Amino acid sequence: MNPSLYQQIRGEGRRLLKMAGLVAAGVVLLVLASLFTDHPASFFFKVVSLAGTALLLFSVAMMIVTFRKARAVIPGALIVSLATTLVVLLVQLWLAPLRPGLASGAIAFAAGMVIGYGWSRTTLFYIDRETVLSRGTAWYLAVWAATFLFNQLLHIFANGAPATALAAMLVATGIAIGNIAGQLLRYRQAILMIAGAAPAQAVGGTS
Amino acid sequence: MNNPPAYCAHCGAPLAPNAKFCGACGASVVADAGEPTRPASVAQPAPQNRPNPKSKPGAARGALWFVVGGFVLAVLAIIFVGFGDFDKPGPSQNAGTSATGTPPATSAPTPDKPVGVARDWRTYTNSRYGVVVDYPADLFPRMLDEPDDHAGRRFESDNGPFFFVYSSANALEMTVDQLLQETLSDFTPDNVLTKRTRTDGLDVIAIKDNEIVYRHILTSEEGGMLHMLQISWPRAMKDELMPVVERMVKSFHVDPSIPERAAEGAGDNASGGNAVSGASSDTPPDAGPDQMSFRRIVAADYGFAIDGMSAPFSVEIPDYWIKEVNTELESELVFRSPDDDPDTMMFIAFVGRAVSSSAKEIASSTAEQLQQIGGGEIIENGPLTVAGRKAWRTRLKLGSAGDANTNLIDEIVAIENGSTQLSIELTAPEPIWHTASQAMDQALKTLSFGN
Repeated sequence: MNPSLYQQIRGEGRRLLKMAGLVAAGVVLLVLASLFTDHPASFFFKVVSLAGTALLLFSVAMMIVTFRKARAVIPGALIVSLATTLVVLLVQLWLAPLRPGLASGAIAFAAGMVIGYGWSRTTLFYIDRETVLSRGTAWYLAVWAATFLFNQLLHIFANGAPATALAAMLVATGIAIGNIAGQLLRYRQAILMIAGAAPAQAVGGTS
Repeated sequence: MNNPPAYCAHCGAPLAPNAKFCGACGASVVADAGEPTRPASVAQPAPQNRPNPKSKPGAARGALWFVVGGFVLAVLAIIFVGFGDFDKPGPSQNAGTSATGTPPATSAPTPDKPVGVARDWRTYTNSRYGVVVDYPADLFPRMLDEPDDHAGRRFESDNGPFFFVYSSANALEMTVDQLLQETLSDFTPDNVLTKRTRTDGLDVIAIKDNEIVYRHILTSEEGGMLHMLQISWPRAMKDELMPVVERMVKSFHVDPSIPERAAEGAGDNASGGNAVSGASSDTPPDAGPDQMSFRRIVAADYGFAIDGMSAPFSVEIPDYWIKEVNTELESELVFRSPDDDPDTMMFIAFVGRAVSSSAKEIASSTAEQLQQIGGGEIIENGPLTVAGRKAWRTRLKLGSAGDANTNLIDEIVAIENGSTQLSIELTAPEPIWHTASQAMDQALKTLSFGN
């Protein structure tokens, strides 16, 4: 029997807390280790920078290797992910020394949502024994690569301007939210199919 | 009874028992009454090579239109931000923000104006060491008290940035490279953004305590003197303030004639005297000793009137000069320097008369009266135009009321103003006349009749 939405959200929340706990423990250990070096702050930020680079490369590799792997769609996890993304955005806006104007900020966010929704449509959704599954496609990978490149180029050419960096973050957040919203919409369509409310056909994206 | 097929009719992949859809291509599974079917082609290519016949036609195009359109919008938004569509600074830059996160209006710039824009450029001159630098007074409005050694000054802003100028002797006779090493020792090596040396100094830009620090050092007197300009500002304001900082650094220089002139002019008072010129033009004024700053006064605010009639005018006078309270006539407005020492006291007086004499007659008669009281001689006499009106200037050298060895210079500029006359009279000891004359020059330049 599939877990309820509340159980899914709770489970996803626990998973996030575990991850956060591990990360916090890692940071504490790193801080302690840094204290034994000549330049603790320098050592700490160097390690963080190296770890960040390694994680980035690892995530790229994982994306390339696993994007076609079918995964069960868990709406609770999507909702938690959406909420987390929004909270991070609000915190960034709160702390930002300079914010983009309302008009350009709204356009940036909307642009991201449009990209995200389009990206969600490159995901193949289908149903297997009353379970909604999704898997990536070649176009999915192409859009992911385009957004990754866009972000990197923006950070290079924006030259650290705080408002521009925040506008880029609004785009990225919009992408995430648009993608999640698109997936939730298609999940709902698939569920309706399982219930027999629509003709039986796969809710396909692109091949 | 129907037997469910064992293989997908579309892609040939094996089907799970009782599956309604193919797990590989998602095609619907239709139960067949006959034997398990298998497509004629045995090959089972990878799912990604088989088109999904049930996928909506044009789905790829639709998705890509969204993506491409979204990118175009995103680029436009970024361009708008790049052209300065900024909002107010976030609460992290302001103290005491509200719970809703809205920064206090009193400390936030206008929405269309980026933080750090500088318009009111002034010149700071240190007359002890001849150091000169341009700085934006609207960005650094607070000038702190000068140190006891008069070797520099510190200027602060309301939202973080500050700068100071300081001169000292190169007692250890350090070379530029040694100075660089000493400067770098103040920063963590990884936080040094730029370091460069010149024959006459060095520049270091580094990050310290989340601030960008620009340290610019000049040497003079063949390395015997060191002059430092250090500007600090929050990292978040890096892009906004860099052009301002670059202009300040470019203007920073040492003029050895300044302390010489200050020593000649001020006599025993050649102790430094940091002064700021109030000029707001883009080109710095000639650096002279004891540059004055000015403030605008409106005569009507002091009850100035000629024969009971309001005679409005406004003019700029030296910033720290105070109104002399010993005048009794409402047609006289006198300001003096804050010194109590008669050898350095300066006066500027605005005197109104309801007469129709010419400016020359007024100036000459005033000069005669002064000569009768204090003796002396006329050293300059001639016409000029002030505020678009005819005027006459007379300058006299008089005997001093204090020290008998110090002469006074008295300059009278009489200005015709229809049925009234306005005279501006400046009095100062001869040794500091070069400083005092700024007051008259500024008054003549900024005099304006009417409300």
